[in-house]
Amino acid sequence: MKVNGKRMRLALAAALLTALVPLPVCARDDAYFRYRMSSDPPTLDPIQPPDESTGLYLFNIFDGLVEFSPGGVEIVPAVAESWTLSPDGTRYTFKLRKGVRFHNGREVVAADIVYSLKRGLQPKKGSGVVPLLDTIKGAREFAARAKPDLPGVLAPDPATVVITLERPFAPFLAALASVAGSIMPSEVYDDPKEGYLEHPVGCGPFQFEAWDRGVSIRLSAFKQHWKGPPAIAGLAFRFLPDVSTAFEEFKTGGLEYDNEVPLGRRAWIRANLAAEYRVWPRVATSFVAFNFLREPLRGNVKLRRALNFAVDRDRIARVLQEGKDVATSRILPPELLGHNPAPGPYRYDPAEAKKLLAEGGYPEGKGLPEIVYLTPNNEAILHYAQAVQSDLAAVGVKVRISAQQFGAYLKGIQGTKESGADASIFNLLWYPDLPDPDGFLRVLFHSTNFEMGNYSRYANPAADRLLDEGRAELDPKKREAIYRKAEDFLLSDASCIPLYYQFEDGLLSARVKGFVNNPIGDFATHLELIRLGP
Amino acid sequence: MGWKPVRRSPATLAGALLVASALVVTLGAVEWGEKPGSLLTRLRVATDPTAIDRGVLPPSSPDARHLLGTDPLGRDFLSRLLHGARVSVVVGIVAEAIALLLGVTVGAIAGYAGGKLDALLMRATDILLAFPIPLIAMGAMAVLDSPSLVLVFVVLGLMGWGGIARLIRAEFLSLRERDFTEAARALGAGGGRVAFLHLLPNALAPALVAATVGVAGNILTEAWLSFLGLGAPPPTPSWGGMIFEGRVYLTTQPWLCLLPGLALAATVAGFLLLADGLRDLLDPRRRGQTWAI
Repeated sequence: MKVNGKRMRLALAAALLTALVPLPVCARDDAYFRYRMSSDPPTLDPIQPPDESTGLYLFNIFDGLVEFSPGGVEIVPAVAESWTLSPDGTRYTFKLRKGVRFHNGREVVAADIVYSLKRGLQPKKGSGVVPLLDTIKGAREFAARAKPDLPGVLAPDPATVVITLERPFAPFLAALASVAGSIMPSEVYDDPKEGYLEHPVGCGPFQFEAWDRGVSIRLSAFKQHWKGPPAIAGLAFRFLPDVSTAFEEFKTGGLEYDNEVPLGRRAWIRANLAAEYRVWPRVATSFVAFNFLREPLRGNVKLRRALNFAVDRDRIARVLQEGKDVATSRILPPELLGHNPAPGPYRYDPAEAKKLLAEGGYPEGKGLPEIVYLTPNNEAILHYAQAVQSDLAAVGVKVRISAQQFGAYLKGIQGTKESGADASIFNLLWYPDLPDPDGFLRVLFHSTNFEMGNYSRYANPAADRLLDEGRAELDPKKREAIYRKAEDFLLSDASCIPLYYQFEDGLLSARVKGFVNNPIGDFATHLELIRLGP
Repeated sequence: MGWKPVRRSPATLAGALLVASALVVTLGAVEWGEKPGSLLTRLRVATDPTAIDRGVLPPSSPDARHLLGTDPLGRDFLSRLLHGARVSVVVGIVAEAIALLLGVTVGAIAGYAGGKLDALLMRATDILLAFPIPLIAMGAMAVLDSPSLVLVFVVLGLMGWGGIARLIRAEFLSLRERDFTEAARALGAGGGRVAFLHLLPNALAPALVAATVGVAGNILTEAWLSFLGLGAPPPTPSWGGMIFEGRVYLTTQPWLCLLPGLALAATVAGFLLLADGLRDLLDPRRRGQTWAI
C-alpha cells in the first residue's frame, strides 16, 4: 500500500499548528501581576468567614470607608474622605468622597454603606464579620432579628454616614478597614439567585474578570477607581497547590510573586535568589496552647511554667525555621500596640523546668498522664512539633503528637463545651482579625470568648478586667500600658507556651516596583500601587 | 527435600539472606522487656532514634559521632534507618499473619463444605478482592481519629485475606477427593478432624508462598501510608516517613531520601525472592511425589 507523502506532511503540519494555539493566551498574561495561591477560595462573598487567602481577593475587589495604610496598621481615608469622632467616643461621622463608582458604573452613596453593614449583620448563611461589628448600637438585636432596624448606622444625606456605638471601642476603625467594612451594591447583593457568588461587584481598584475553577482567578484594573487607574492591567491569581511546582514556576518566569518557600531550600535561595527573596514581619505569633478544661494543666501553674522553661524556642526559630522567625516568650508581636521588646520571662532552662516539675507534684514526670498534642499535619509545623515533643521528653514529660488534616484540626481545637479541645495541648498560629492587641489578647484569653478564639478556655477574672479596660480606653499611651500589664499577667500565669513571632517569606520578581508588604498579612498589600518593569 | 533446590538457585539464597538481615535488624530494633530502649541501643550499635542532637545544624553530613549524619531535625540518621525496619517488617509480618489466619479459615470452610456455603464465601472473597488495598487503607487511616500501628495491622490484615482464601479453597477442593481423605473418613474421623488434621497441612504450601508475597505487599503499603503521614505517628521512624522528610533534600543530601528507599526495596525484594524459592521448594511436582500422611 502506497502512503501519500504530501498528505502526511500536511497532516503533520496541521497537528503542529494546533499545538501552538495556547501560546497567545500565555503572552497576554505578561501584563498581569501573577500571584501564586495554593487553592481556590471557598467563596468571594466578603461577609463569609474569611481566611487569609480569601482576604486577598476581597481587599482588591472591595473598598470600605477606610483602609490600612500601604505598609502598616494605621488607618487612612478611603471611600470616606474624612471623619470626626464625638467627645464621648461613641459617634463617628464620615464624609464620603465624591465620584466613587461601583464596577457596574453606579455612584456610591451613603445608603450603600448602611446596606452593606446591615447585610454583614444579617446574612442568609453564616457570617464571619458579626463579631467585628457587634459594638454598633443595636447590632446585637438586629443580628438576632429581634429588631428590624439598625439605629447605629444612619445616612442623614447621600454624602454622610453616622455610626454610633454602644460604648467606646478603640479598634472600631480597624474593623471598618477589614473585610467587614466592604461596601456592596444592593442591586447585586440582593439577587435571590446569588449571582454575586460567581461575579462579585464592589468599588475597589480591581474588578472581577473570570474564575477558572482550579486554575486561576483574574481581576482586571478598574479604570474609574477614585485613586485613578491602577498601573498594571490586572491581577492573575494562579492556583498551584504544590510548593515545589510553584517554586519552579517562579524560577522560570511564570509568576511574579510566590507566597511560599519550599522547606529546606532557604539556604540555596538566600545564596542564589538574593534579590528576589524577601522576608516580612507578620502580626502573628506561634505558640502551644493549653486546654484549661483538662487536668493536669488546669490548676497547676508550676507545671505550666515548667513546660515553658523546657522548650528551646531559639533552636526552633533559628534552626528548624531556618532563621526566618524570631523566638519569643512573649505574646504580642512587633507592630502591635503593647508589644514589649524586652525579653520575656521564660528562657530555655531544662534544670529549672525539672525543678518546677517536681514542685508541681510530678518529679521527673512520674505520675503525669500522657499528654496529647494536636497539630495540623502541615510539614513545617510537624517539624517543630517534634522538637517540642523531644524537649518535653527530655525533662520527663511524655507527649503524643496527633497530626490531623487542617479541617479536622480546626474542629479538634474547637472541641466540645464540656471538655474543650480534643487534646491537652495544641498548636496555634494566631493572626488577629484586627491589627490591635484586643484582637490578640482579648480574643485568645477572655472568658467570654470560648467559641470564637479562646480555644484554650482560659478564664481568669483578673485577666478579664485588664482586657476590658484596654478595650474601652481610647488614649493610645494608656492602652499600651494596660496591654503590657495584661501580657505580663498572662505570662506569669503561664497561659500558653509562646514559641516565635511569625515572619513570612516569599519570592518577588525583580520586575515588580512599588510592592509594599503589610505586616497584617499578604492580603493587605496595596496591589494597585505596583508597577511592572521590563 | 534437601538443600539442592536452594543451592541451585542463587536468587533464593539472596532472598533468604536479605530477609534474615531484615529480621535480625528488626529484632534488634524492637523494644524488649523492662529496660528502656531496643537491643540495638543497649548494645551501643545505634542510639535512640528520637533523640535530637542539639549541637549540630541539621541535616548534617556524616562525622565521627553520626556515621550517616543527622536527619532534618537533628536525629542520628543511621539509628533511624535501622529502627525504621521495626515498623516496616513488624507491620508486614503481623498483618500477614492476621490475613493468613482469616484466609485459611474461610478457604478451608469453603473448600471442605462445598455447595451453597462455598458459593457465599467465595462471592464475599471476590468482593473483597475487588477493593484496592492501599486506597482503602489510606481512607481508613485518614478517617479514624487516633491513627496507630495496631490499626495499620488490623486494616491490612482485614483487607488481605482474599487471595489466601482462594488458594486454600482450591487445594481443599482437590484434596478432599483424594484416597487418603476417604481412608481417614472410613476410619471414623469427623469432618473437622479430617479438614484440620489431614487436609490443611497439605494445602498450606501455596498459601505460605502467597503469604510471603503478601508480607512484601504489606511493607510497601505501610511505606505508602507513612509517606502520606497516615502511618506510624511521629517521632517513630519509618522508612516511608523518612523518604517523605528527605525528598526536599534530594539535590543537596540525597542519602536522606535514597537510603530508606534502598532499605525498603531490599527488604521487599528479599521477601519476593524468598517466596519464589519457597514455591520451588514446596512444589510437589518437582519431586515427582505427592504429600501424604
